[in-house]
Formats: sequence, structure tokens, C-alpha cells
Amino acid sequence: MADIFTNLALGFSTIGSVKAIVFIFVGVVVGILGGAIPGISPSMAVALLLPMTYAMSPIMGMVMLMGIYIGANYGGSITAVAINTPGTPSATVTAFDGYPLLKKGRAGEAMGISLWASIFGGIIGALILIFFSVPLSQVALKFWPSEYFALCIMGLTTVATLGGKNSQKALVTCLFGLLLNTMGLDPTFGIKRFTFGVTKLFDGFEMVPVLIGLFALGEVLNNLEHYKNGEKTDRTEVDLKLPKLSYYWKLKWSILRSGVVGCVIGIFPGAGGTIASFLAYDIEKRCSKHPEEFGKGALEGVAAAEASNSGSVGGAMVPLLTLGIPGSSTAAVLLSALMIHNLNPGPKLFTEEPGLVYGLFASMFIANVLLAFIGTFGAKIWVKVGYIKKTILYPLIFAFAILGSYSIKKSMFDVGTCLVFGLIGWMFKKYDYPSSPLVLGLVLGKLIETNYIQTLMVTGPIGFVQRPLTVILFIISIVAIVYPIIGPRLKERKKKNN
Amino acid sequence: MEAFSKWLTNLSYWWILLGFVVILLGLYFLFNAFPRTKKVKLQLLVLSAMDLVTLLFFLLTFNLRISKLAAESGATPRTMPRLWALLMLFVSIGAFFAIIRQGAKKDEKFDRWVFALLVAVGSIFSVFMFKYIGYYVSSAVFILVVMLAMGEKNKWQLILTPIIWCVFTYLVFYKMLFIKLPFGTWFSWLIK
Repeated sequence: MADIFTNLALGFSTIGSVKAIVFIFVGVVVGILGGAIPGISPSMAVALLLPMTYAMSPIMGMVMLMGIYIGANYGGSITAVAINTPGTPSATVTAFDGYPLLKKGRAGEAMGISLWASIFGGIIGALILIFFSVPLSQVALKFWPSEYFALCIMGLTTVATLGGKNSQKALVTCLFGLLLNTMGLDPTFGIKRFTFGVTKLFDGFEMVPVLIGLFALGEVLNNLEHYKNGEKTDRTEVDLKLPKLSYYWKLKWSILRSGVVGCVIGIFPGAGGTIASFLAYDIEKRCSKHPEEFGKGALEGVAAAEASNSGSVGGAMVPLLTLGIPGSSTAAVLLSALMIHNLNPGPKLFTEEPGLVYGLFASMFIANVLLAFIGTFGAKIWVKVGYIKKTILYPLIFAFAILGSYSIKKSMFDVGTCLVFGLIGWMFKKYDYPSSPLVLGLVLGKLIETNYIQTLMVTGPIGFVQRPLTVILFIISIVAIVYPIIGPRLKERKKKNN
Repeated sequence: MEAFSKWLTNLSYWWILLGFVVILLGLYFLFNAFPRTKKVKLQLLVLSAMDLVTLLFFLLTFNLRISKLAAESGATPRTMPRLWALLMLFVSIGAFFAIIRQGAKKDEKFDRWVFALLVAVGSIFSVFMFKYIGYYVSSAVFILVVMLAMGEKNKWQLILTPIIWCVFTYLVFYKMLFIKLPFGTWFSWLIK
């Protein structure tokens, strides 16, 4: 333990210069902008500035890239709250409650919670990374495909809470998402499935256009349908002020729980912030005294989504630094950045380059502190976006959606995907089919299939019940589904008996 | 079944789309004929559309190639789509009855859906025009037309919004992020 503190002090001294702080600052600003623009993913933002690090020292380059990673994870939530357009897939869950809060005129609260939950989530992730990175990496290594499969099934159980009263419709849309995910090349054998001769479908659907379509275009089309010419934005009783710091104290447990969940899920390669935010949201809804408020502007919902998303950054760094395995696509870009500077991640990196490793850890704290300043200043501007005149806002969202979808691969097919999913989102909204389970299905589909088939190929069907951890995860999944159905009935019975 | 699946695979997706429309129209009239389904016919149609896609995928799985390795492992490219499809069809039955049972929320009436649809079609047209007039002109015209259609009368806002948007996208995407947005064949001489 004393070694950790000594090394951490070394880390802070390594990056304790104005130059390093300026680089982190630039990284956070670029990251926020990148995350906020739909179509620019955190990994893309990091990759775009990677060439700039060639001429820098390894530590300076890495802390700047780390700043981008942290900034981008928060940036995605800005447009999710302001215009219901998640800038990154992991910000999808933030939109569930952030946007309804904005519509209720509580934009300041929504922006403030997303910012501070993101900061505290990031700090929780960094702390876990510093103190438990080595033992946690060992746990991640022991995960077999059967455990990954069980973990994904556990992720799927969140559909039970996402649907609310429309549980059957939620199940249908989730399964539809899982089915749509099978389009393209089969992940194990490379066989074409349901591509209808369209080569662009070989990789399946790109995630960001789907999200922009379902959430942003679906919402705008629905609003346009009910729009009356000359209709004005209701500016009365709109609270644009960000709450004071003490306000967030009531969300401490939500942030803490979600930060830990995000960090733990982030450790597992492939899982990432999106699954973490879905799971954390589900846990918060189950823990909440007012679960009915989730999806309608629950403060805990925004906090859970953002804290877990930011917590996953620390998690993703665990396998990256200790084993050289990237836990997310952004971590993969960071891995290449380390290799460009002739640094080989692994246990040796901790002993040979403690200044760099702990400097990187220290930069996570500094980046989060800088995020607090930049985010507070930026949120005051962003918070007003949701209240721009409708005649300006709606066409701009359309233009933004098209641009965001196009810029990922410069593909018209992605723009078409966005528009088609926009129509689907509109119909879903109109007829009370929740869109979020569809996203859940699309996110988890490939992971489920890959790990299911790998388990069958390695051990056969016995693999699903052979290992205790797999069984435990399956039991948790079953309880997560069954309890919401049986729980209220048991309570009613108890009441009757009393 | 495999022969039918092969025939379906070779069918153009336009024919499949046409088939979908015909079946959905038939279902619309069918749901309209019964008092219990009449009130929720559009909710049921959305469900049916998803089920039709599911059924199509299920049928297409019969024509998916299986490698020797896959056959030996017991898990093939057909496994997951079939599993999801069967679960989907099973869950849909429950959803169907949940929708039509007494007390289910009635279909929301269509408001200005033609207007919303026209904006969507307009955006498709705008994307189509990228090739000829480029992203900047096409998106500016699209923004202007939608603003006018929504009843915006402020001349400054009508002029400035598309211009600011174009300047913003040019600076951020073209200059900062090096994402080359199409200039269009009509204006390509500008960048030569």
C-alpha cells in the first residue's frame, strides 16, 4: 500500500508541470467536443489527435490522450440531454432521463447531474484502477466465454426494468434488436447472413446512426407531427442554473454504486461503458423508492448512467495496463499510442516505468478536476440548446443527424440507416414501443453469439453449468427477471395476511 | 423448406418489400374488421411488421451455409437467428394479447403525419442531392425549406441559420477533423 502512495506521488510529480496540465486541458476540451458531436466516437477523437503525440514525450502524449478519453465520455451526454441525441453509444442511457428532465424545464439539474456524476464516476474508476488493478486483471483473465455469455444475459435482464408497464413490448423490441444484430457476417464462421446482396451490410448496422435515428429523429418526427405553425417554445419556469455542489449529496449512493459497477464492467474486454450504463441504470431503478419515475426524468437515472459510463474508463485501463488487452475501442487506440512510444503494457510496465503509469493515473484525477471547470462553463451554454426556437432546432437536428451518420465512414448507407431507424423510432414512440431495449439487443447481440458459440466449441453445452461463476451469474439473471414479477405479489400477500 | 429458402434468398429485396406492404395492408383490413382489434390496429401492425421480418429471417436461415467445423461443434450460423426468431414469435403472442386485452391504450391518432413524413422524404432528397450540389448547399437548402414549412417568418433567422450551419460544419468537420464532406459534381471545380 505504501508503494502505491509513493508511486502516486511520483506520478503527480511527473505531470506536475504547466505543460502537462495544458495538454490535459486541450485533451479534455477536444474530448468533450468530439463526444458531443454525434458521429465522432471517443476512439475516433483519440485517434485523430494520436499523430500529434509523435513529437511529444510518452508521458505528455499519453496524458493528453487520456484527457480526450475522459472528456469524450462526458461529452456524449451533452447532446443526449440537450436534444435527445446521444453523442456516443454509452450516453444512450443518459438520454432516458436527462431529456425528460430538460423537457420538464429542469435543464440545469440534468446538465449538472450528468457533469458531476461523470466526474465522481471517473474518480471512483481511477481509485479502483490504482488500488485494485492487479487483482482485478487476474479476475478478468479467469473469465471464460461461458462467463461472458452469462454476463451478457445478465445485461439482457435489464429489459425487465427498461420496459416499465410495457414489459411485453419491451421484450419484443429487445428480441427484434438481437435479431437485427445477426445481419452481416457471422462473427465466428464468417458466413453471410441476411445481407440481401448489400455489401455494406456485411458489418451489420453501424451503432451511432441507429442511435441517432431511433432517439433524435424519432423524437423530432414525432414532434413535427404535433407541431402547429407559429408554436412557440415555452420559456416560462425553465431553470437553466446548475445546482450547487451540496445538491448532489443526495445522489451519493447512486453515483458510488454506479461508478463501481461501471469500473468493474469496464474491466471485461468488449463489455464497455454502454453495457455498464444499462446495468447501472437497472440496478438504480431496482434500488429506487420511486422506480416509476425512471424514464420520466429520474435524477438517479442520469447519475447512474453517467457515473457508470465514466467509471468504465478506469475499468478499461485495468486490462490495458496490466495485461496489454484493450477493454474498449478507445483503449485499443491508447494501446497503439503506447506501442508507438515503444512502451509494452504488462506487469513490467509498472516496475520499469512507474513514473509513466502512475503519471497516467494522476492525470485521470487532474482531467476530472479540469472537466469540472470546463464542464460547468460549457453546460451553461449547452443547457440553452434544448430551448432554441423549434423552427430552428428541428431542421438543425435533422442536419446534425445526417452529418453525424455520414461522418463515421463517409457512407450514404449509414445516412439511410439513420433515416430508416428514425422512422422506426417515430412509430415506436407513437405506439408505445420502448426503443431502449432495441438498442440493448443491438449492443449485446454479437457478444452473446460469439461467447455462446465459443463455449459450445470449447466445452459443449456442459460449459454453461460447469463453472461456479457462470452458474452464479445465471442465478443472478434469473432472480433479476423473476423478482420484479413475484416481488409485488409477495408484498401484496403479506399485506393481506397482516 | 430449403428450396423455398433458396428461392427467397434469390428474390430481389424490392419484391420482398412489396410482399411486406401487401401483407401489412391485408392485416390492416383484418384488424379493422374486429371490434377488439380495431382500436389498437396500428399497435398490432407495428408488432406484425417486426414479426414479418422475424419470419423472413427464420425462413432465410435454411439457406445459410454450414461449414464442417460448425456442424461438428453443434453451433452453426443458423443457431442464434433461429433462437431469437423463435423467442420473438413466442413473446409476440403474449404481446398481441396484452395489446388487445381490455384497458390497453388505444392507438394514438395521426396528427400532421404527412408533414412529418414530407420532412423525412425531404431529408432523403437532400442526401440524394449531395452527389450533385454537395453537402453544404444541399443541407442549407434543406434547413431553409424546413424552416419555411414550419412557418418561420423572421428573415434574418431564415438567412443566418443555414449560413451559420454551413460555416460551422466547414470549420469543424472539414478544417479541424479533416472529414471531407462532398462538394458535389456541380461545384467540384471550386476545390480544383
